[in-house]
Amino acid sequence: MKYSYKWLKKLVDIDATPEKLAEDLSCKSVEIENIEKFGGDFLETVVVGEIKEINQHPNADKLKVTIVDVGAIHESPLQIVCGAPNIAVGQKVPVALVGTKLPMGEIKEAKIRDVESFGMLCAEDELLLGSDHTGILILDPTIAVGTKLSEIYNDFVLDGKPGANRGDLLNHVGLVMEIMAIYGTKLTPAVGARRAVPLQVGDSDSVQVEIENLEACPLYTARLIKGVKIGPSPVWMQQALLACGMRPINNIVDVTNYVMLEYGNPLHAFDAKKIPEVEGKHQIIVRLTKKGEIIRTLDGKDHEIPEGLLVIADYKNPVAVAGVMGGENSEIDDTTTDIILESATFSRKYIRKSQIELGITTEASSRFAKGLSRELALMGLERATQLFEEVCSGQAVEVPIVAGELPVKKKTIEVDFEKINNFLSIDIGKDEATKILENLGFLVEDNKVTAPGWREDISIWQDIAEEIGRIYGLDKVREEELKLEIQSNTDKSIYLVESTKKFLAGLGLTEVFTMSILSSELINKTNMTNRYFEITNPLNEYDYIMRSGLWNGLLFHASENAKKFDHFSLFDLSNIYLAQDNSGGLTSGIPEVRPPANEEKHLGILIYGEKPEEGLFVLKNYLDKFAQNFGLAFTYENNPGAEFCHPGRSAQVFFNKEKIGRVCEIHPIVLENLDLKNRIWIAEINLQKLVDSAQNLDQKFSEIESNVIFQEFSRFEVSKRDMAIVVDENLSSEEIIKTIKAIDAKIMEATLFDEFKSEKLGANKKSLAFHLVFQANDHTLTDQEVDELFNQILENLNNKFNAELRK
Amino acid sequence: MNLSDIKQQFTDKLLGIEDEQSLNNLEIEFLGRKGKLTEVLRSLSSLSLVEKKRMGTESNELKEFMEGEIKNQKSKIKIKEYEKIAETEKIDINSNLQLTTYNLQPVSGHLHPLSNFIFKIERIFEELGYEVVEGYDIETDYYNFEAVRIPEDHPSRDEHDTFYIKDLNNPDKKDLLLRTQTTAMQVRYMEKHQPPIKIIVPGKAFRRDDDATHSPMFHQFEGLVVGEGITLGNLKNTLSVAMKKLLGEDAKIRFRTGYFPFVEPGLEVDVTCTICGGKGCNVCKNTGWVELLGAGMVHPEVLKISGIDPEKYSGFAFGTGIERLAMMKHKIPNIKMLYENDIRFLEQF
Repeated sequence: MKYSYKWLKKLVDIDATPEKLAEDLSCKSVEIENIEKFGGDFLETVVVGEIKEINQHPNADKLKVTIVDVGAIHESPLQIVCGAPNIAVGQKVPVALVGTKLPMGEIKEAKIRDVESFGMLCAEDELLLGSDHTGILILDPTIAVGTKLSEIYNDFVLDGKPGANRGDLLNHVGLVMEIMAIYGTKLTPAVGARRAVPLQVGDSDSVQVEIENLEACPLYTARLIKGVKIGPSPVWMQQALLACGMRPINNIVDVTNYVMLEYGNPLHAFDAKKIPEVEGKHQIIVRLTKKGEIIRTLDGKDHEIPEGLLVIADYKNPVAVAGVMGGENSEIDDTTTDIILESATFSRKYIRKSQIELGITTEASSRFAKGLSRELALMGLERATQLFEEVCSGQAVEVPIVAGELPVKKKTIEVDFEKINNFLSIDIGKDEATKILENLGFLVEDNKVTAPGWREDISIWQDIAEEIGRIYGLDKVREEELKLEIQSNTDKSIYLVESTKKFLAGLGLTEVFTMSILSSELINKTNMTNRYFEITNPLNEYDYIMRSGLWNGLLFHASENAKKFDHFSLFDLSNIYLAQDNSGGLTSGIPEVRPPANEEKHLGILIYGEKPEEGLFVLKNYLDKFAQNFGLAFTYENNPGAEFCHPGRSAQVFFNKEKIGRVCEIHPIVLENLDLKNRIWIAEINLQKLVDSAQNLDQKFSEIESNVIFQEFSRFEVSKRDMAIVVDENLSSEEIIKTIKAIDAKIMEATLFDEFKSEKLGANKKSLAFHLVFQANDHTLTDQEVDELFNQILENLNNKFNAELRK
Repeated sequence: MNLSDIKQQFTDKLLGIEDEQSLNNLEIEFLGRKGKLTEVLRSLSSLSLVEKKRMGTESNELKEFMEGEIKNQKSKIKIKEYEKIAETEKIDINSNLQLTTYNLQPVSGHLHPLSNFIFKIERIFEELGYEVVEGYDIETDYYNFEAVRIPEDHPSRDEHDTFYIKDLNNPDKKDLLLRTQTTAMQVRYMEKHQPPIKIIVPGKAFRRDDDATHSPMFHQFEGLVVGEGITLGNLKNTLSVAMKKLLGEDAKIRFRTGYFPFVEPGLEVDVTCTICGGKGCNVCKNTGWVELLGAGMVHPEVLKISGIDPEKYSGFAFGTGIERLAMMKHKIPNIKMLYENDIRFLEQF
């Protein structure tokens, strides 16, 4: 909502500058997001001119040569070339004199297609007074020629955002009540504040209103105004509307908009002759639409209205979508003399329904959608009637028409001012609190407080406390130390997440945050076949899949990074969503609460750029180190895996005999789909299953204790040998290593460093090469001792596995 | 040769093909510039206009048919080739190969900037005696909205443009959603725990927004304290202490009025602008303050709906977006950078 500083000052005495006012409002009432000067300094040399002559430009069809009187500022009328279609002799228009620095550039004397031009006639957007560029801004004919526009357009616009429960603040009078309370000032006598308007339910002699659905429209008031003369509205009104971002149209529309911005209730004016009479009375029916009804709205579009929307109808057809937009069939036009002014209250529920189903949101509908009280409708009717008489020469000859239910008196709330002081940690006297409330329009009698009718947001004593606290000043709230102890039961998984992430980053991996929402394109490219949850209203047609694993997202980010890097390792630790009907996989610290869907916390690791034969082991190494860190151990079983896995390089990961994840190379088809040139390995682990077993997590992360007992080690020299043997190809290296180590305690280490097959080795044979490390506890081994041990190993392997030393 | 002969011949030949080269040859034979189909089309000139039109349609259909079949066959051949990799590239995970290149050079890893903030926040509130709990990303309308006083037609729903999730058991029901706020955890927790309550809830939230400052997925944390005689002053002190720990000793807080349906009174909480230290700059629009948290005293109806007596207990709640904190601290211009996961971005943290 744009508030005009000038307008506010008209309603209440304000000493504060616009900036100070904005700050005070932001702290105590409505957040002001922006202050803008309305009417730039350049308007000093833009003056009101009267068009005296219009001639066709000799060399250009679309241009005209005008003669414009700008008054005493220039001794003779100015010749100005203009291309706008809407000018006519006698109009008053803004003239930017030569030398004016408009935002678009400086105005200079110019020859336009050989005709001299001394200035420019301006459209409103060129003067930053609005957004219209369809023609020259036509000014009120009563303004004196030569008047500087800076005298007409000089204001500050405060762009504010009231809370969603304060629809009553989307207007100037509402804000004035707040300003009064903040500064303790009085209203200027010219304008009354909000007050109750005494009216009674009933029709007039010539208009009858019937409401079919009181929930949708609790109150409908109207007034027949005769003999209006249509024309431009006065300058002060146009100025105010422009400042608030609305375009002046004609005096009738302008009055309805002005009253909406002043008092808050959106109004509508129907051409009375277009609302047919039934038994001598114009008949207005407020009802819900039936199936298949059509309305052409003021914007010229035909809308088939869905069933059940709230409309204003004549005896037969809808003439307006209630609170949203008027219909063309009842629109004001040049021949209009009598109007029916509508000021009603529509329930936010029905307005929101219309907005959604018709896809239309207007200034009016967005106000109704926040919920407006019936008092505002009554005040709006009264104020608009007064302005129609003043500005449009109309006459309200009959009584107001009122249908529905008049507002009931608000319920009284009992408050304990002492309790409020304690609750808010402030120290305010009862008198001061009472004054604040009264300035806001509340009625205070002892400890009984009644909210004004338009404050539908007030219902409990805490609401009253808020009113007192915010106006008194929340900066005056005392700090009070919280003395509340609880037994904290933070779930182990919280600590596991933190320590896992820190551990993996320490190993040299980079953490990514991938999106929980995946695109169908990625799902197809990564050959995913799992079931998944779907978003019914995604941002676009692709991004509708809730991930059921982390690997898809990791692959996506790998494919992006692979364009720039040859080698990287990434990890992600986050929630995945399993579209299965079981209740396991709790992610919460409070296991007894059943989640709406099955969510699991997973760890995903991706590595890129390793040698094809080694990647799987690099990844396995990470997993083993991760497990070790928490005092755990994983085992692995070869398993071809799902469609995205390389069938020969994939394994399931087990912990305590339970399957907890997978480690695999990605299938070459998936790599091709993602334009990845090198191989990728991915592991994904269900962390939840580890949580209960992780020994180091028995206390808090910060209190992890080590239970390691120191083992003595030999301080004598080690000796190293390599051994290459040829064995049957089905033999596992693990088995051989076990055997080697069992031979003698002096064999400290045996590790595989090479493995290959070749026809030269013989059918079904392979070569394995091991690093061997020898060491004794009590002396340094001699070469001879080492040779003996070496031969002993060979002999054992030969006996047991038929192994031969490779030649 | 007529069109159906061509089709028959093509189908017969296709059956026997099992390598890519033969398939390419077949494509040339039937669909090439001098292929069989082209030949038939050339002979059309002698036909009547009606005949031409009919043949034209039919030959087009045949062309599409053959192209489709060839494409299918190509991908089948490819898949078949890849079937072999299960054998030709087989690796035994338990063979424990000694790695040659692994870890030859130490590299430094990186935590995501959001993780750093989440850990920091958890640690600060743990030290203040809070329990850390997490909620669910997929929530129900009840916990995310209804229970925290945001019914169906409430204007606040405008600010929560919500993703709905298809409920597998009730596809027509609009009840499952991606939570729009970690506030969804408040009532869940209070239903199961009587005061004293002192929790901090970090987690993901989702809204249908996508621009330089909004990501459809983002992170928040929410604090909730309920006990006897909890006051606004307790809230002020808590945030004052926590923000000093989070942003530095010079950080001050300022309360302004604000509106959130689940608190009364509701507050916007500003902190001293970290860029200019409160002197005024572009970031804080020369006010010296930056809006950081939403907060307030827990609305009695929220307590009541959770089974906690609002006559006996009161409480406060506060929350904010974590991306905003990270963006402010690291001067990250666009929220998207946090989710693009470009290593050139990540390795700076």
